[in-house]
Amino acid sequence: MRDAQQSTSDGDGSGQSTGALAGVRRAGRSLREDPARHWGALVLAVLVGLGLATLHWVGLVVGGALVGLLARSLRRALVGGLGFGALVVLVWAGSFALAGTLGSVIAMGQLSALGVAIGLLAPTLGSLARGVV
Amino acid sequence: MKHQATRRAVLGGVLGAGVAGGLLSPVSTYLRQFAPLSGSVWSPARFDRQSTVDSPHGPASVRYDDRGVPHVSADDEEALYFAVGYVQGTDRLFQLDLQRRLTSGRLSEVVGDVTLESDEFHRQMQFRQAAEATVDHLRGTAVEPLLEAYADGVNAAIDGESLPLEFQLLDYEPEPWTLADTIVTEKLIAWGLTGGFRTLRKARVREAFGEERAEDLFPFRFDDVEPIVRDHHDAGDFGGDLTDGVASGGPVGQSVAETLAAFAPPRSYGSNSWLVDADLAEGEAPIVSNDPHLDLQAPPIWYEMHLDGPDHRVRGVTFPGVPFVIVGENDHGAWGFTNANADVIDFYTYDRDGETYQYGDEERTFDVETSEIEVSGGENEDIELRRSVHGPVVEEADHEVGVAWTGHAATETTLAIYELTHSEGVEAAVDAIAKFESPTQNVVYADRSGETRFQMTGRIPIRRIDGEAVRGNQIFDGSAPEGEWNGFEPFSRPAAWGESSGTEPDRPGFVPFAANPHVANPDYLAAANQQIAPDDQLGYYYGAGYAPPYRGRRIYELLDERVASGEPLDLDFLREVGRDTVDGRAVDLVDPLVAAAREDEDLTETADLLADWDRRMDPDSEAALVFDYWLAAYREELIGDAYEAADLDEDFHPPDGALEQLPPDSRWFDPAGRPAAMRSALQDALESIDEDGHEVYGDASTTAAIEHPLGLGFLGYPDHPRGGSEVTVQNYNYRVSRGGSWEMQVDLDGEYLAILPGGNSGRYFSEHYDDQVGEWAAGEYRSLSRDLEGDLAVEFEGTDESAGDGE
Repeated sequence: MRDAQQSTSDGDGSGQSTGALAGVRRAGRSLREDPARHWGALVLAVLVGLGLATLHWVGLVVGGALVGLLARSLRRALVGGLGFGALVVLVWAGSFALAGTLGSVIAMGQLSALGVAIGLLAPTLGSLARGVV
Repeated sequence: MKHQATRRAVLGGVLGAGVAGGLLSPVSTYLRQFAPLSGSVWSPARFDRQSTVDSPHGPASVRYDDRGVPHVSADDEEALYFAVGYVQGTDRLFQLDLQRRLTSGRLSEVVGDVTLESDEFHRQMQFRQAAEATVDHLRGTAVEPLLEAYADGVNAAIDGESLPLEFQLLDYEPEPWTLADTIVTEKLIAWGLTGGFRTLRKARVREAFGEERAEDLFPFRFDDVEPIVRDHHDAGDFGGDLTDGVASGGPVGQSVAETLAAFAPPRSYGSNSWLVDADLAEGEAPIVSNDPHLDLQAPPIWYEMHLDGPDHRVRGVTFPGVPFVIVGENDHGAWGFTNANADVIDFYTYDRDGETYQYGDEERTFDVETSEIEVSGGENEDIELRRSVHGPVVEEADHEVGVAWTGHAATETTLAIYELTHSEGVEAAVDAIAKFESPTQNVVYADRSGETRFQMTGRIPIRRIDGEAVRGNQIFDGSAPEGEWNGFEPFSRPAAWGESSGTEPDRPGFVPFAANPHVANPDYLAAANQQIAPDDQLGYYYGAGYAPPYRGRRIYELLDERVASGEPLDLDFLREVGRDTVDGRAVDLVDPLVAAAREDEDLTETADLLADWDRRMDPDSEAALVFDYWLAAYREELIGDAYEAADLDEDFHPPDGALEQLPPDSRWFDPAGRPAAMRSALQDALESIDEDGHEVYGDASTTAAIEHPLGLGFLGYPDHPRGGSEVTVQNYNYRVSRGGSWEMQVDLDGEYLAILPGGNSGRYFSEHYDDQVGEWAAGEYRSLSRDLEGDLAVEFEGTDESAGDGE
């Protein structure tokens, strides 16, 4: 209920904006509120985010932002960003498991923990974008 | 409304600042390195080598066996060594780069100012310039195109394969490999084995404690030596005209001595080797063993490979960076090396006036050039490189010392190694060994026809004062000049080393190769760095600092007993010899230690434990732990306070074995005598053991001591208990991580046994990074195949360029 109120409030706020930004917000609201479109967009956001994250760490932020923008509230966006980060870490660990090197990566201790921390924090940072629009 | 706008601004600011900070601040480096999925550090964890590679030198193939050993085959030798460069550049690239940077004085470029002093030293010693002079000398020889092909192969790996983890962690890329990089690697090894500043260290200790006490700590010869060349070999007299002439150089000053001593190679490099003829082995061919005791590190100092070329097949190990197998076996014979501990370095002081120095009747100017050391994250530093007629001149605080070292000349050791891999019997092997100029080594060789040879290699300088040959363990007056090596020129090919140059043949500057100690076809022989032959059989001065006698004595004891028993010296028996852990120091010292301990009621239990001990440094032994800790405490008890008062650090500590052999009436025991010192050390040792929480020797002596040069814990090896000490046949000194680096026994009519202390791959994420360390710790061997094994991993396809070469 509180999230819905937050969402409404955001919607009210969009009335103050004009032009393209207003269009983006309308599209965003549509993606958030239509369940079918929401899940499709979420899957797309995750795939795009993962793809970008294999190229550059900013991809982690962008992925978190895309996932966050689909959330109904900033709080849900932060959870979504963190969730995307967790998925990144899982995919990352899975790639090592497939290569047979997961144990060696874990044995790196603080260095692999740094990778996990970046994987969780960067998308969460990106999800703050939800609070900007 | 205003609240929302503010919130958006704040969140936007946080997001923007986070991204901008990540991109523009120093944090960007860490994000680029460690971010999951894209981080450069993680790419080696998904390493998958290329299966086909273009080779400008022609086709070749590489198979990797189940221990990560490459089996390389080609019908053309350049194609073969291109592939060798490629596999070494793939498996050991960081090690290659680290070695050349260390020796060339370029570490600070990538790790910052923590290595500045090391870079200063290595530049001042001008190893790189010596390597370049050697490359010039090798131009036009058989090895030049092979060194070129090898370098091409390393560079193809740099370009074609993902860089190993260490490069990603340090965030730099290697430069292309060159011929001089290979040779500077050889200079590094040579320096480690024959460099050193014993003369200067002893001079400083003499200044601090006087002649007699210094002589106790740095004895010219150890007691109870069982020399390599014994009477039963009928070696005879090796000739020479040595006198007791005394040099007048020095002192060199404390600061110079300290600077040089800090970068001296370890004092306890040692190795084992033995030869057993076919009859005693009760087979059709001899047995050769070799176990070089070198620094243990991750990855190992050796790289194993099996090469099958157009006219030779050879399997063994090399130092990464060197294309040719150094220790191993080919279709005709097997060979190994132990350090000869020859003295091939001298030190000179000068009458100096600014940039000039007196040299006989002449006034000469030092050759000086400025060298800039690049420092990562810091200010670059300029240093002056100085040379005299003798070699590099190291200067500190208004004192300087000139250094003459045979390794500073253009040497032919690379040719020797290459020819050894192609040798087809003992005669060809000895011809090859004759070119092994630096480092000086004791070679054991056996061929399948049954011929064997022990041969000391290397250029041994003959120092003269007023025309008389003198020992080299003294500091010479370079201005007199005294201690000259007739016909030697650093950084070029010495005239005295040419086949026909022979300057002043009546006063040769170097011991003729034929006079170097050697034995043809001994029944059996053991070389473990001990004194080579009794001094009265040697007319030349070869060295002042042989290894303590314990390993050589023990190996001969075991072999002698076996021969006397009439049982064969076969591979089964020799395995046991290789795994022997009896500590000769314990044999000599435990009885007096027990007697001393019984004088103190509190030490009775420990005395009983030691008295019942078999003197073996086995991992499950409680007494071995006590003895190990006691010995460390005993050394400290004897010299700790005196050294501290004299402001001498551990770089000036005596060689291994010296304190253990101090006689009971030595001046180093205080008036209370040796028993009191032994008791006091035992009390200290028991306290230390209690503090460390150890119960048996294997709690302390473990493979966890074997670290990676970067010092990151995960790059080291897992923890396995390992027996042996620095003086046992099965060799391991956990305190300094040194020991058996390639434990090899070759029955030329049977099995080829060997083991590496770690794994053959230098790639941390490889299953072969540490897959031998457990077996090594347990004293096991692998049985090596003489056939090419493994799945095809890399196919090298000849390019048009290689086809053109062949036409």
